[in-house]
Amino acid sequence: MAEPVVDLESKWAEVLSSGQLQLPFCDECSGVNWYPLPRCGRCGASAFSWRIVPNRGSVHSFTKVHRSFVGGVAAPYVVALIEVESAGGARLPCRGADANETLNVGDQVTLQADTAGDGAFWRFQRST
Amino acid sequence: MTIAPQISGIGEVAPSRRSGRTAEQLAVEAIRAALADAGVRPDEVECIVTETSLMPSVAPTDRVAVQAGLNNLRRVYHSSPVGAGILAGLGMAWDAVANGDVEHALTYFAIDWGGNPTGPADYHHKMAAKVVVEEPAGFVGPPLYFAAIAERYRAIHGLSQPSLAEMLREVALSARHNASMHPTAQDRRGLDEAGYDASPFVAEPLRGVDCSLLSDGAGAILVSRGQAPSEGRIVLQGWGYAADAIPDMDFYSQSPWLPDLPAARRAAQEALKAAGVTIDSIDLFQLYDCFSIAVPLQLEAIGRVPPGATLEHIRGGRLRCDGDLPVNTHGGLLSHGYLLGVGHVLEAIQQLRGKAGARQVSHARSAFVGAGPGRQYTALILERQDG
Repeated sequence: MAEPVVDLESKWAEVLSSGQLQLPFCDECSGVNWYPLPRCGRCGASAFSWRIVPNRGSVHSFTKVHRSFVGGVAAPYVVALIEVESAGGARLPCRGADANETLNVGDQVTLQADTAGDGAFWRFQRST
Repeated sequence: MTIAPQISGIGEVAPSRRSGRTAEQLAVEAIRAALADAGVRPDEVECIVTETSLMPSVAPTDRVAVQAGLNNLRRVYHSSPVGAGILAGLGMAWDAVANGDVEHALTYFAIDWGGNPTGPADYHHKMAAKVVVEEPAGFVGPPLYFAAIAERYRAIHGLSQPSLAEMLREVALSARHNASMHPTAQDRRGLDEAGYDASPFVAEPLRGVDCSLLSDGAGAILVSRGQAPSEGRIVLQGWGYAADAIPDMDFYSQSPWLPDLPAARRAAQEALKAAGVTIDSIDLFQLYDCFSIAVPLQLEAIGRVPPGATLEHIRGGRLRCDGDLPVNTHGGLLSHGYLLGVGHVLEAIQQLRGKAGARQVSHARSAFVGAGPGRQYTALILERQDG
């Protein structure tokens, strides 16, 4: 059922706590609406539904961060932009588990919600 | 009788880490310097144009106008955000004179992110998805955005890690070399390969010296209809602006195009077409170098070098002011100062005036200035005309 994207913050918290990734898709053209806008950038429709997508994807790009830019994320750590599988090209910034892991663009990963700390986010793990 | 416009005056408050003055004060100072340089009275200026995102809060046109004595304004315009907007400000000022609206049009930009160094992070932090989705994961701040672009560039073009490092090092060392020859550049300290390699990583592959400085400073440029100065007229021969259909907030994580910059390509094509010149005929380039990787991205997007081929075109100091592909001859954002592009414009004008001192590019007659390496871009083609 269509629901307007009014509050990304609370919806995203709900998705993370469920552990199953969901993203908003346009009811008209089925394009992914990410990051959410009140109207679809492809067809102009304004009805969207959050749909389950796989907790999987591939590495679009990444960086190993050596300086802390936000409180709570201690450097060093690896952060990657993960292109979510079957999600119209939508990407999620995700944190790695191991700062010294060797990573390559194109690596297949699985995603897991990390809700233990102050800010909830997705962690990636290489599948192979 | 209509006399074509020209750049009649420039003013700069040289970049520094802490000026002890506000952006508003710096803006007024730069404007007064530009008017003095042109020999134009403040009450002769009928039009001002400025950047639309930062200036309205820190150096708004109403307060700046009063303090600079601009009491006869008939046109006040805001362009677009940050770097691309600063350059577009000159394009709009130029057009206001060229189309006969006004005799004199002025554009300015001032920044105090040296004294207030959370500025660029705050600018990006104000966007909702960044707070909710990106920051908890640790994807936060421009250095990480451009580090990820660099890694993507490496993967797309099949570069080894050492080759990527060599390319970035070339950009950073050339910027510092050029700044070392500029009397008021903010960082003129010597930097060699060992010094580059010793600079700590911020976000791999970017090291500290791959990142923009933080600065206080300002610049102003006056466009006038009127008589030519004896040393040659500086004209905006063509300019272009383009924006891609993606919100600013989404760009660094969701752009379908990176490491390509389609807006930069279109803006450059528009400017070149308007100027009636080809990219290969341009004598020097001033490109928005918030991070070293931004220079290759732009050289490729504007068509100066083929995609993925920057390293072979810049290797061996060719970006230096005495090289055969002079880029950011004042030292850029990396070493001259983080004036978000207005310093790039001023340097292009100084070079075309033949007033660039030790870093003068010989026989410089045309300059390409580009800024906004993101969803939007402005390209300017400036030329010197004699006789």
